[in-house]
Amino acid sequence: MVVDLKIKFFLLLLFANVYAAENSDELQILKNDVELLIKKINSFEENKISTQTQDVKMPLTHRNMLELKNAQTILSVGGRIHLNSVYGWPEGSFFAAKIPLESKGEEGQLSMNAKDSRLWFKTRTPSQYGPLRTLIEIDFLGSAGTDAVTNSHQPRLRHAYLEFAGFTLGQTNSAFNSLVALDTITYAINDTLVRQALVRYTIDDDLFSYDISVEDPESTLLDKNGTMLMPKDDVAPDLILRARYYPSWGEASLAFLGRYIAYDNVKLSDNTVLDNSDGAYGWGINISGKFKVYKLDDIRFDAQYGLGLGRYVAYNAYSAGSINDEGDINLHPTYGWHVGYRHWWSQKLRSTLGFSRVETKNNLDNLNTANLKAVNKKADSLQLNLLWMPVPDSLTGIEYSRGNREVQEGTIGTIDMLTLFFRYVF
Amino acid sequence: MKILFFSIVFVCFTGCTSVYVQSNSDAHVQESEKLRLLMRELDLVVYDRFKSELERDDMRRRYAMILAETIKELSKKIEDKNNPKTFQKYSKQLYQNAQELYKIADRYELENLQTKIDAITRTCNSCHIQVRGY
Repeated sequence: MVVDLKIKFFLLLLFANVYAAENSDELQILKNDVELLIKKINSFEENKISTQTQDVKMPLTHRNMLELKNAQTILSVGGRIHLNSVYGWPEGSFFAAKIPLESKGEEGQLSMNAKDSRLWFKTRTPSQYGPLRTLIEIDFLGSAGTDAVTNSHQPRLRHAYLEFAGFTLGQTNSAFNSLVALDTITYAINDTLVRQALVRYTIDDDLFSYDISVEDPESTLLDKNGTMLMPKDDVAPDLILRARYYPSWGEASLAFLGRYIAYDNVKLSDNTVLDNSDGAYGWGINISGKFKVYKLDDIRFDAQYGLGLGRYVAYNAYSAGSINDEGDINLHPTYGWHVGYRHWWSQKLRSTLGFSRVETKNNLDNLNTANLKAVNKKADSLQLNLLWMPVPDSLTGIEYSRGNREVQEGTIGTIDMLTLFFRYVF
Repeated sequence: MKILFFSIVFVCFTGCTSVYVQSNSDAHVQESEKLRLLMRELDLVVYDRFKSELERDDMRRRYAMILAETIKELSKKIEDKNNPKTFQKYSKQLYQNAQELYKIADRYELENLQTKIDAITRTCNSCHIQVRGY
């Protein structure tokens, strides 16, 4: 604006000079100067327009999914191609139950795969009660193929469910899952991620959503040998109540889990049969969310605590409880947290620094001291990455992650991983 | 004297215009920033790690509805009768687009979202060019 003003003022003075020199010999020279100046101003304005109109930018979203439509239903097909390259010191998985103990294994082993690619089909059909929406999604993290020849990784069902009139039926994310995850390639060590069959009812409004969900139960119990048993004697579904909040500063959720853990005549790891039955009520809470701090930067957090939380945290690293010599169930308290800061270096470049930790208190009275190396106790992790979106719907980047695992006997394992990946969502 | 007179008149005129346009601009700079962030968040939903595709659609719908509400607020602010008629014309157009955006989001017709956002973007850009001059 100041530049505009200066130019206009200069023009005025120039015109004034022209007026004053109306009858002089300099008239023609001044006219030429004015024409030249006008041309320059026009050129300046044009440049300014082309720059400033980018103020309101076209969104980057260019969804390339295929959409087929008949009179009522829209079928969309989409997915993602995901190439993962991992160096591990030692080679291993970045999960609380799988970090190699005493850091034993191949050092600096490079492993590449595309098994985290996905394919999904979704439909939407309008009705008088609102849209009926369905989704089927698979990835290729089922049975692993051999690296040596064809890498024929098997498809695996992730989601198969419908949503209609507030109801969700089928297999999908548990309502107990964290609302917000760290923006990392490897997982936070305490992730609460369970997908299972469920029936859920959701009340949704502008700021809040409320869920009541009954979900597939699965008890996990330690026997005296430190082996995790799945008795398959569940009689009541897990019940989850959740509230989600979407204020202008971010988003947050609070979930409460209630479950009944039971067994009846269970076969132990030493092939003896425990001719008894017992049950116990477990519970857990999970708080998750993110705060926007500056522009798109945010702080993400998650914390959970529970008695008999078991498989709901850290990808089933810990059992819900253990069975004592009398055949009674003792539930174990489990807790975990993660926190991460995501910073945007530019429109297409971002980083996350995250920390996480998870721990369970095993009942040592129920376990043989000779087998404590098989029982997970705690784990923590650190992740730092640099992610870049070179073209819309694509993502590539590099991440350093370090994880520690400790078992009940005291042995510790550490893994350092360097992950490079490329992903394109279609 | 003539030069001085013309200079003073010209400076006053251009100065007043600048202040007027500047005040209008300031009035919705904040809203524009909010819109830009919302659009970015809408774009970034695709990278949400844990969410299923239907959950991502829920988030897109939510952001689109907030976007529509924010645009409605913005259009009301610039609807002021004291503003130039050009401003008012664009504010009405913006309001109408925002209402349509809200309906699209409400019905989960997310395949139409991009087209509507493009229309809103064009309205904003046209208004900026005509009213601000850039």
